[in-house]
Order: sequence, then structure tokens, then C-alpha cells
Amino acid sequence: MIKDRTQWAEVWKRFRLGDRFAFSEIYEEFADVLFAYGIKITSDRELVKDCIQDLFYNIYRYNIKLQKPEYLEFYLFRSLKNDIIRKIKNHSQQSSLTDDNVTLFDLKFQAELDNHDKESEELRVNALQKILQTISPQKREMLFLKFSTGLNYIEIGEIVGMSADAVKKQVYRTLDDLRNRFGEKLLSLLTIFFKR
Amino acid sequence: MVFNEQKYIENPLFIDWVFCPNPAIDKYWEDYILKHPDEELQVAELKSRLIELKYADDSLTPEEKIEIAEHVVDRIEMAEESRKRRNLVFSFMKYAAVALIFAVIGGLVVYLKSDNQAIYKQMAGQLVQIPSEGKGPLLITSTGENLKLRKTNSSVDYTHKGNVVLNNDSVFKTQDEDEGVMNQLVIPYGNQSKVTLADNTNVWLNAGSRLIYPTTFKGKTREVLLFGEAYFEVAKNAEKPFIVKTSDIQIRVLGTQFNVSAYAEDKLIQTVLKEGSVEILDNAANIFSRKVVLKPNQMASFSKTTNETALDEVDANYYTLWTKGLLSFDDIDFDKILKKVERFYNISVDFSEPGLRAIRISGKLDLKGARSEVLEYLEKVSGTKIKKLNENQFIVNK
Repeated sequence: MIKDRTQWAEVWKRFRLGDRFAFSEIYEEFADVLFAYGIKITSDRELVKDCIQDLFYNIYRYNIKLQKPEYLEFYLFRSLKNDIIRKIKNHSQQSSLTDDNVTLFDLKFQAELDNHDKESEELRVNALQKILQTISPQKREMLFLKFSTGLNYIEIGEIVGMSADAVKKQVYRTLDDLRNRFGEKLLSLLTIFFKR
Repeated sequence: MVFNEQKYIENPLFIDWVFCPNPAIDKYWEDYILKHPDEELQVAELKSRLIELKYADDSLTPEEKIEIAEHVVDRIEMAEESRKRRNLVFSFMKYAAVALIFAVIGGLVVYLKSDNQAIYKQMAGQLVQIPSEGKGPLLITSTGENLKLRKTNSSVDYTHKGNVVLNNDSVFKTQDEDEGVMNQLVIPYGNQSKVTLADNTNVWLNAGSRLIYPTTFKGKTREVLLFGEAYFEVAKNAEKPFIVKTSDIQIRVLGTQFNVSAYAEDKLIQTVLKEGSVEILDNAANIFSRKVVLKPNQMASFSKTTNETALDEVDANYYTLWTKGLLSFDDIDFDKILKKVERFYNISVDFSEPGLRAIRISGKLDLKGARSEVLEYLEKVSGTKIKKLNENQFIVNK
């Protein structure tokens, strides 16, 4: 169960007022999903971990003021993404790599396999993996943010660099498109994939 | 809209119901279906489809999650030290952050690092690790100083200026700064102690317990961290709630008297209210969790395994007798009483036959008396023989 944004606003306020536990509450809640998000932007595990470390260190150290505390989750995701991209760019300048990895947004799935139905499940998951590869990375990122976080369309738009309306349209167009191509059932399955 | 499942897909409660159900959310959807019977089929069908597959992606391992947290607190510590200033929020935060993460991830594992010199690890199911050289209670100050309190029944007093009075005589100053710093009091088995906090709240700590608290209370709340058992007489201050944090739950009060038993090795965290009122919150509280509000002479038993809290009517006096060195029991399992006696005398008692554990006994013990007398008394009320194997080990025979 995820706290809603007004509750996180409260937690943030408590942290700003010096509540010693609010900080660890925020870390405890968001570290995993931030990692799940980051690892889709780059497959460099250590880099994602470093960025999460920096993110929380900076929050504590600089006692960051949020314009609106309701935006805590948005702030975390946007900061993490910006930082990952910045670090990758620095890195690739040094090692003369292209920044192709930046918007990789590679979704990896693993089915929860049932013993008696293992094979067909595997087939289905493989099929889904292929289908997902046909969706652009940006759309995949939008789907992840839509289904795996508590962010709203405005915030997702900020992160991916589009308007809220455009994000919503894209999400539904992608879902409809998939449904038309692959049937209702697939669509339901998809929503699961994006769920933590 | 072509996509007629939109209203469920857009509803986080629906996705949570499918993947992380809990009784409250089940109830929500039961009620929802009662109100909208025409949607029942659609809801059930969608749910059954969704549940078929689950998404698992690269995730942080618990170790990695802790590792990151440790790096964060280490860096904060370094930054703070370079400013040559200890910060109340920081030192507590560091402990709390790491402890909470461990508590959530690995059952109850407490990891405490105090000024780079004392590291305590307390694993779930294990007894509290007390420094071997410390036979008596130990007061650990924020600067890492370890002060041994010689008496087995010691007292520690904090004055408003942050001075500490030990056993009513020796006085020392904690810090020149008037900012509060964190202290912890470690009570080994075989000891008890009383501490008077800066706000005049009295805390009696039972054997095998640990209390972490600031020398003065800054901020909007008064917070302490407890492992083990303590009886609190909280000084009234309606503007600054007093909060007792434990591994799994926290207890919020304004001014009242209550007992909390939260030993790592026990499956239950029990809160008994003597006077006033308290609120109990699961540390993992969410919008669906209900606060438990206790009335005097009620006991809330939070189960660490099911995360549920049961309420019972009890006699609160029974649960606070230990502060006076007394132990009273009425139709209680023999092994439960022996557990308390073990903690009090720092001994270990085994049973030759498992059946002996469940003997129900009633009586009253004065733990201030000689250990041998107490054990003799227990033999009498249980109808067993308690044989001494060596100085600290005993076995219960038929």
C-alpha cells in the first residue's frame, strides 16, 4: 500500500521540522521503486545505486525545500532521472561512448511461474517482451511512471518532457493500440508488468 | 471510451487489491461490489486475469538497500563532523534510519553505530548483545563515552540544563552546547534502572532493555526509542506529544502511565495502559490502518507475525509490578514466567520435557529476594524440580 500524496506531504513536513523518523520513512518507501525506475534508464547497477545515495544525501544535507511538499514523489523521480543522465553523460565523455544508453528504458519481465503451466506462461512472457520492444522507450517510460508510481499526468509530463494531455493521450493510445493488436487480455497483463 | 476497464486501471486501490491485498482493502472492494452488484462480474474477471502474471524486475537486494542507507548516513556524519558540531537530528536519524530499514527488511535486526566505536548487532531471535565488560547498566553518551552504573538498580536523572545525576550523587555535564544530544541506556539481564528524562518523564527499564533518548527535547515531539520493556510515567505536555518508538509500532501519548514490552525475541509487542490514553500506530501505517486507542486497564498485543493488534482487558497493576521488583502471575504458562526470571537474574533455564513448559501457575514473586528462594518458590507452585547445572544454568525436571 502506498501512502497518497497528502500523506507524503505530511511526512515531508515532519522531516523538515526535524522529525528523525520521517527521513527513513521516505527512504524505506521510495528506494526500491526509484531503483526499479533507474535501472530501466541505465543497466549500470552501481551507477543507479550511487545516484540514489546522492539523492538522499542531498535531501538530508541541504534540507531541500519543496515548493509544494505534495510533489515529493515527483521531485524524487525527476531528480534521479536528471542525475543518472548527467552522470552517464560525464562518463561517456570520458570514455568516449555514445549516450545511446541514456534512454534505453529496457523493461525486463519475469513471470511468476505456475508449476503446472510453466511452458505456456514462459511463451506468453516471451511474446510480451517482444511486443514491448515495439513500443518506443519513451512510451515505455510513461507506462512505467503511470502504473508503478503515484505520479499524475502533469508530473509524468514534466519528467518525460511533454504536456500532461499528451502523456495521457499517449498512454491510452498505446494501451488501445496494443489491445487492438493483441487483444484485451494482453492489455490487462501489461498493466501488471508496470506494477511494482 | 473503448477501454472500459479504465476506471479500474486508473484506480490505485484496484491495483493494490490485486497485488498487495490486506483485510482493509478487501473490505473496501467487498463493500464496493455490494453497492455496485452489476459490476461484480467485470471486477472479478479483471482481477483474475491480472493476477495471472506478476511483474518482477531488477530490484535492490535488502543488503544493497541497507548499504546505500549506510553510505548516506556515513556521508552525513562526515559532513557533520567537519562542522565540528553534533546534531541531535542527525545522530538519532542515523540510528533510526538504519534500524528501521533492518527492522523492515530482516525481521528485527538492530544495527547501531555510535561514534565509530560501539557496534551492536542484535539479530531477530537472539538475546540482546551487551558488551561483555559491562556487568552493570551502561550509559552511552553521544560522544561515545561509556559510563558504567555500578548498582544493579541504578537511576539516571537529567536536569533541564542537560546535567546528568547518577544514583542521586555523582553529577556531570553532558555537553557545553545547549543542544540536545542522544544518549542510550543499556540494561543487561539481571539489572533494572530508572531514568528521569529532561521533561521529567520517568522511565523504568527492565532487564535486557535499551532506551535511546535525547538529553533535552527539542522539536515538536518528544521521541524515544525502546528495545525491551519499560514502564513510562510521562510528564504532561499537551503541546509536545511523547512518542515511544519500537521495532514495529509506535505509541503516542500526551501525558500518561503505561508499560511497553517489546523484546526482540518475543513475537508480541504488548502495551498496557494504567492511566490516561495512548494511541498505537503500526510503523508501516498507511491510509487504511486504524489507530488503536487504549483505555486504562487495556492491553494491546501487536503480533509481529500477522501485524495485527488484539485488545484485552487486564489489570494494569500486574504489568507494572516488575518496577518494584515484584512478579505476580495468575494462571500463566510456566515458561513465560521463567523467561522473565531468566531475564531478571541473567540465567538460562531449560526444560527436560516440553510438556513442563505449559504448566499453568499462579503466585507472586519478590525478585529482590535471593535467587535460590525464588527458584524454590517456583518449584513449589509448578510441582517441578529445578536443578542447578552450573552458576547460570538450570534445568526443570518433573
